[in-house]
Amino acid sequence: MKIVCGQLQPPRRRERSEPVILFVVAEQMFAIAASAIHEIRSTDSISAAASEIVGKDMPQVRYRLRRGRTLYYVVNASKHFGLPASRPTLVLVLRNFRAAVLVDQIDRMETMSRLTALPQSFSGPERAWYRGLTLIGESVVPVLSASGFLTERQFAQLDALDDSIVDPVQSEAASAQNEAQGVALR
Amino acid sequence: MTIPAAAQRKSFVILPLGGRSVSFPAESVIELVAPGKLQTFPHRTPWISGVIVRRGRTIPVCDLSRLLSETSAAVGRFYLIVEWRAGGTFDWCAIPVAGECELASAEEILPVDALTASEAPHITGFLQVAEERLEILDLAKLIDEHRPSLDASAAESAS
Repeated sequence: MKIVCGQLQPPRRRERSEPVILFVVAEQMFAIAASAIHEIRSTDSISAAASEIVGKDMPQVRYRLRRGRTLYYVVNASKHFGLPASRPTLVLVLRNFRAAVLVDQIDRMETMSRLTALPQSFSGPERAWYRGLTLIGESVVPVLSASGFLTERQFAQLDALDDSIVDPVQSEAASAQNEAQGVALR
Repeated sequence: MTIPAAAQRKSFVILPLGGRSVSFPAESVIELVAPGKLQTFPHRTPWISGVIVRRGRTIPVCDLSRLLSETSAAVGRFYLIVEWRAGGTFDWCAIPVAGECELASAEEILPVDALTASEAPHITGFLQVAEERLEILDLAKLIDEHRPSLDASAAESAS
């Protein structure tokens, strides 16, 4: 058996501190780099800019959101992570990715001083979901990767749905009607 | 075909697993600790039940029974922390242990037969302890055996 003290090797980590936003989905806390977030809005304030996506096989993405000239796909975080259903009240609009994320609430901002790599035993899609893990107090908090919400292939599938709409005039009218009425983002 | 037996004396940590015992080479065992607070976050690796923090290091808790496709073990009284090689680096797993662990040494490691070597490459040999013939496990190989199916399911879920 090994003698621990002499053998203990620190995990691979980055020591540079980084501001992160801690948020909660279905009572689970996550962290995401503040620099990865373009804006945070309440679901109520943004529902007028959202429209429902129909005819696709991606239950975690039910809405698209227009912000200026950009169309964002809205990912329900509780469905994405397989958590119990929750009542999202906020939308995190990501920077550099055409995705927005429905979350329950923001907990606080924090400075993350240490990011450790996800242990290699984790072998599922979580390897794409997380940049790594951090310790906030005594709690292990997964740090999300902004690119982990939708794959390139999923973006392409969603874009294809938009492109496949037969009558662009009718579609625009329907979208405008949706946007005028607003939808409840869930 | 048989794999040649190692001649030198080696130490092993024997741990109970359901109604039997299995062993790990002692050099792969870091320590045996009292169970700490199990923390969880979303993931899809079925044999990991959560993580513990030990000296500032986050260690996944791996259900050995599940990796061996056996009935899940009872709640662990201890965690046996085992090191395994993941690619070019070393990683640790905390394995819940329901009973007492033993340290044993053996001069002779019984070789695995060809069928075992092909069907269960994570068994690197056998240890004869009294009447019992115990499997010597290679955790890296055991985890690797489960990776391809996960990769496939991840690809499916992404499609």
